[in-house]
Amino acid sequence: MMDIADLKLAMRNTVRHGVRSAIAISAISFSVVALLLAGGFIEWIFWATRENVIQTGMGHIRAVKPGYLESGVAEPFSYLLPATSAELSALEAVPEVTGVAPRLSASGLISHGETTLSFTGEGVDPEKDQLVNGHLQIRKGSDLSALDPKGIIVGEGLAASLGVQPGDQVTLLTTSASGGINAVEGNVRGVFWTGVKAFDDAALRMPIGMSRELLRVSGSHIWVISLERTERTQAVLSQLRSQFKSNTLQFVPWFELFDFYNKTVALLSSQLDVVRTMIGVIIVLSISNMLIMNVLERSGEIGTLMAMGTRRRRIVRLFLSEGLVLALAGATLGLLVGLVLASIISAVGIPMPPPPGRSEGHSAEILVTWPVAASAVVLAIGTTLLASLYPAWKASRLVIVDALRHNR
Amino acid sequence: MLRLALRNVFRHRLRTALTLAAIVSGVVGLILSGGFIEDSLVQLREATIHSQIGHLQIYKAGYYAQGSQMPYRYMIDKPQQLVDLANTMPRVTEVMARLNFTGMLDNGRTAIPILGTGLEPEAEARLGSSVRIIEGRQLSDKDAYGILLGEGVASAAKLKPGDRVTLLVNALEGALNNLDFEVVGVFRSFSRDHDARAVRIPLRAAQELLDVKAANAIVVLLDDTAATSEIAARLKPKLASGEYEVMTWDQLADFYDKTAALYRRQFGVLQLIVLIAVLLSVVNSVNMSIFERTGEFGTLMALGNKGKTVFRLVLTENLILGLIGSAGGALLGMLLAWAISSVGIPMPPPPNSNSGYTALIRVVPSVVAGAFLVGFAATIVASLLPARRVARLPVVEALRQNQ
Repeated sequence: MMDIADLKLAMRNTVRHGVRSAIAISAISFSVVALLLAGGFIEWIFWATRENVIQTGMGHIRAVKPGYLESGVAEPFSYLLPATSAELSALEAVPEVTGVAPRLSASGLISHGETTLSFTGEGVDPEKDQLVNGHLQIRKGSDLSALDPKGIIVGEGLAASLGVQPGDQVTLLTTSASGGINAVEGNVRGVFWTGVKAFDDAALRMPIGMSRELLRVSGSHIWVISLERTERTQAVLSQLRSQFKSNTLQFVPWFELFDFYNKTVALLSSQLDVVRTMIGVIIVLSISNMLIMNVLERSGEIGTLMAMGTRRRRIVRLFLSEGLVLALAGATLGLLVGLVLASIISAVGIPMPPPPGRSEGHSAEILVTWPVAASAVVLAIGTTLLASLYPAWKASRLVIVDALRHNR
Repeated sequence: MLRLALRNVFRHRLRTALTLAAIVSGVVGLILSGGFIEDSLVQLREATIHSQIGHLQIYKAGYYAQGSQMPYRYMIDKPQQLVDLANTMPRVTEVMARLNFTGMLDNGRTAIPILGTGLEPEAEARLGSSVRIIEGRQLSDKDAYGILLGEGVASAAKLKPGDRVTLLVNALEGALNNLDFEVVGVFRSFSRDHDARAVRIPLRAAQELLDVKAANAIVVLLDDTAATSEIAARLKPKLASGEYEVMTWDQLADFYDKTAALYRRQFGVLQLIVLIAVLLSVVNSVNMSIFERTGEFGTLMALGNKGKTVFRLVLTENLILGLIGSAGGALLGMLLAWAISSVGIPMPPPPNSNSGYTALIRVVPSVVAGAFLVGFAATIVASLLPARRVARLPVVEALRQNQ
């Protein structure tokens, strides 16, 4: 449809109308920048939401004895993983796995002075469980430490009901593996808060050694596997499933465990999509506006061209080629500026408040992904071409004499 | 001057129309995005209130901080009095009582420790279903001895709807009471740990089980969230002082503030991008429009008009454009917001709920005023620089644009 001659002319026209072209190109490139930044920020929001879930103790993948998820609460001793085994070492050796942290759940009664209450507890390895350390919001005292094997942290509601402060002595009581009642003394190191009151009213965490002593077992219920990169979860998952026999270990990825997350993301993405659509519409309107003005201001020029015998179809083609030149220049410039701005903003960071239950927020970045960049460029170029089509067609329909009259 | 500016505005129909279009679409964009974000925040708030919390809760003093594990120590002995009292308050639409207990659930083979709640099923349903039913159905007022099990409880005890179970509790005097129930459904809430121990039964059954007439919490629902603190303030003096505590929803949902703050910031960044897009679009249009008329301004100056006059003329014209465009945009924005709201934007269900909601675009006076000001100010500020440029241009140079 367009030939080289058209393109050449279009180039020359673009350069000749310096100011007009500059304004049009700035409108287009700014649109690309706006779409890149908005899209990249939305990507970051999803990334942060996801990492938040994983870091609040979910881990990327959990390995459990088959059946643990269904019946583990009722029969805590039937689904124990060994403390050390060939499988554990093999898991730790899998490339991309950064750590395997054992967890052992233990529920029972906790007493302090005259008060005795029930608790749901989890024993974690403070050293290996990097995922837990520092990510729970500690309201009083300090977090679990490998140096304090008897130090536990309790939920805010549980601490209030018991009337304990950091430093206080408590006794944990439960039914051990042999069926007898077993008690272990501990001291409160800190008080945590997750924002879910029903959880904070009954939950505590202790070093895994202490929960093993309490239950009189040596193993663990869960191995929390953390990976280098969250995006690789699916790939590593299928590798693990084929590497280990399914009757010894069951692997559950974070997205299957956390229904809450999936729904949060579904809602958030619909809400953000509405805002993204609005940005898109503003940008389409702004580009069309600019181009219509750009072409219609040149009615006189079009009249001259037609008076000299140029066909209407050629006029349309000329203006479309010009649109293309503008679009390409604008999109390239926009992409460059957008990427530079994105990396500057990411380096500085947009301060974000911490999500509920966390002590620190991430500072936001702009994650420009390929789909974000591609959709920004396609939208800008498509809009520019469409927007130049209408005025070009309209201009080619002008009565020559009327068009010439613009050449005052 | 004003008349001349007006004439100019109407003479250049096309340029005026395009500049106006840029201003109008910008103002509309600001109103719609601001209204939608406001709506998302309102919906978040309402979802929080309607997921179990209600607007107000009345407890025995001390229950909130320490009572969840020791429900028997913080009982409201005559809950009906408080329910009647709450019902006399204006704006109250629903009042319901809850009773918590701890005990064991016996399925005939093993006993599992549980945390139970006795509640009024249909009043709770009107408050909003806080939990998702994943098997069976919700409790209804007709189920005198029906029980809803948390997901973890159901799988641990291998129970499904239709099965019969026995609840065992230590009643107040230390006697061991038991009562038989039929499982009607299985629910899933916000936390697995919670679902591994939680069950729900009708309030009357819970009172029978514990052999009391008491309750732990009176939940009050209002017809307007904005009235919460006012009603709370009017309720407090009517209660025996020191005996009860009144908590409002924002005190009960302490994670709400943080969620809302995060939400606000996330949307805020996007809104900033919208704002900049609007500003640049207006600046661009105004710039282009003045640039195209350089020749005309040259003629004016050649006829003896001072550069200052031209500058003021351009400014006045843009003042008119800004006023018309922003006012038109504000009107159109409100119309569109109203039209979109009457259709609604379908949204997926929030976490903890089975049903999605319909998003609206709220007309917020402050957002409309802000959008109007942004459109108006952007137009004028955008015209300053190009107006100064044409006013300072040598006359001959400017005339040359008149080819």
